[in-house]
Amino acid sequence: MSADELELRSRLTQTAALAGPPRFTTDDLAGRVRRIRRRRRRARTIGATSVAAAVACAIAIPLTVGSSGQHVMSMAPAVGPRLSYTVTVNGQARATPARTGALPLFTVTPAERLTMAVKVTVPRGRAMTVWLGITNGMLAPRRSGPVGMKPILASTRTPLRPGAHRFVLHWRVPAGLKPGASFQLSVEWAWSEGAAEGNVAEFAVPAPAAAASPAAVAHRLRELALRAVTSCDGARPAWIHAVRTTFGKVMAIPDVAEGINAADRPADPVYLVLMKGLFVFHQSGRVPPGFCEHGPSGHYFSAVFDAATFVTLEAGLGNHPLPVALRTLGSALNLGRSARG
Amino acid sequence: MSSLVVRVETWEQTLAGLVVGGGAALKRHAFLLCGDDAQADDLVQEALVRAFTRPLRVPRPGAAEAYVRVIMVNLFIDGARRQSRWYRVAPLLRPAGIAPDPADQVSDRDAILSALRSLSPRQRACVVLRYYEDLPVAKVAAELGVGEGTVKRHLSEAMSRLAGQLSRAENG
Repeated sequence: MSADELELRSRLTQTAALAGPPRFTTDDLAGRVRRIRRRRRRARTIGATSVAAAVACAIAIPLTVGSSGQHVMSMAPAVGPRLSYTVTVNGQARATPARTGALPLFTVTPAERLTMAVKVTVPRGRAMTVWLGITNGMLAPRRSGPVGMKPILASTRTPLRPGAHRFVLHWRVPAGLKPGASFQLSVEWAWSEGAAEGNVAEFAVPAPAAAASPAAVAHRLRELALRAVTSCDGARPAWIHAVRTTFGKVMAIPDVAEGINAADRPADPVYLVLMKGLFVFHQSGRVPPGFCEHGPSGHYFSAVFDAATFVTLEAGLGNHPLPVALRTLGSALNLGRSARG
Repeated sequence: MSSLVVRVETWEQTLAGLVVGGGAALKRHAFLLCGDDAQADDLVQEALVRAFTRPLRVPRPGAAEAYVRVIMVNLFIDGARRQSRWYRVAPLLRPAGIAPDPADQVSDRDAILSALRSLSPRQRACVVLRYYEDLPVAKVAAELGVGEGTVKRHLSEAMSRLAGQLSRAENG
């Protein structure tokens, strides 16, 4: 049989038709996306993917302890049984009420040595294999072990029995991290029928004190916005504007706030940055030829940054402006050229 | 100042449109890539989740599908790279979860799936994009982020290998 192109095309079509119908539903996927977005909303920073490639030294000492009176934060995994955690970093215990789903946020400095005590509570009737480690928020649970967790700070060789288990983790924050970089301490767990993942704590490198001046803030926001996207036509953005406002006000803007948990600290100061041009998001700094024509592009870029850490809380591309004036949200900053029209 | 704030597309609507309108096509594409029904489901789901958990608003449904397809191909290639051991033994395993077919169709399917598995992940991605999705070489190169010459080389090597595999399968 010759494998000429026409025949190959025909046989590929026949073979592809034998694939079963999709076994996933919109609701399942949307739920999973919402959970991941919620977990990442305080930690995502553009370019943070390099954080995972950390220079790390880690010693994991799993110890079994009895239950204590410490606050326990529950995480909602994608499926299956839940684990619960208590986290202490360098002696600072942090907890957030479970109902908001918000993670404890620790500010760290580059090259800082962290000692993290994590108490994992395995529910009754289950034996769990657990991995703990550093991620950039992108997790893919697998029963054979985590993908995207680097370094893995602790793992259990034998499944943990129900009850409380304490892990002491040591990790050195990479020295070269820039202000605004963030990463997460994540956990993956697998049981006999499946696997799930969750985030235990978030770490962010705050902006230096000098960056508090309006000029420095404007420069920082401009850099963040320009690094987030690539211009399709090679031109500079028509304009870049920002406004210092609050989480609550941003949440009140339709669509821009999607993915942000409405229960999460509405009074927190944030910067909303807007940029006009023709952009695409890019993952590796290089936009493949033709990507702008066929990939998702947009004329308006928007992003919400935490005012203290410059962590990206949300960012998006769209083609339609909203009838909401920036000045109604707070004090506006002009980060680029004057607005046209 | 009235036009400074951005309206972004509702990602739930885009996702729903993609799953309902393009889910089956994406699944077929994934099935050709990985040769396994369950893995194809996982691949499509993972690609969709990655596409929509990123701070992304997809302006056009057609572009969204193309974008998810790119993520799917990259996930497949990355996964294959990480799991090279698994892919060495994968050809020994029969695809599971597929409805019974006529005997000749099963044989034909197994032959083409086995032949596809004999290719490297990148070669397989090139073949699927070029001969199943019917994309021109330039577009295949753009989707994979490689040069056209690289795609042509992958296709040429893949065709030689497929020809050998399929003729061996037919001759018994």
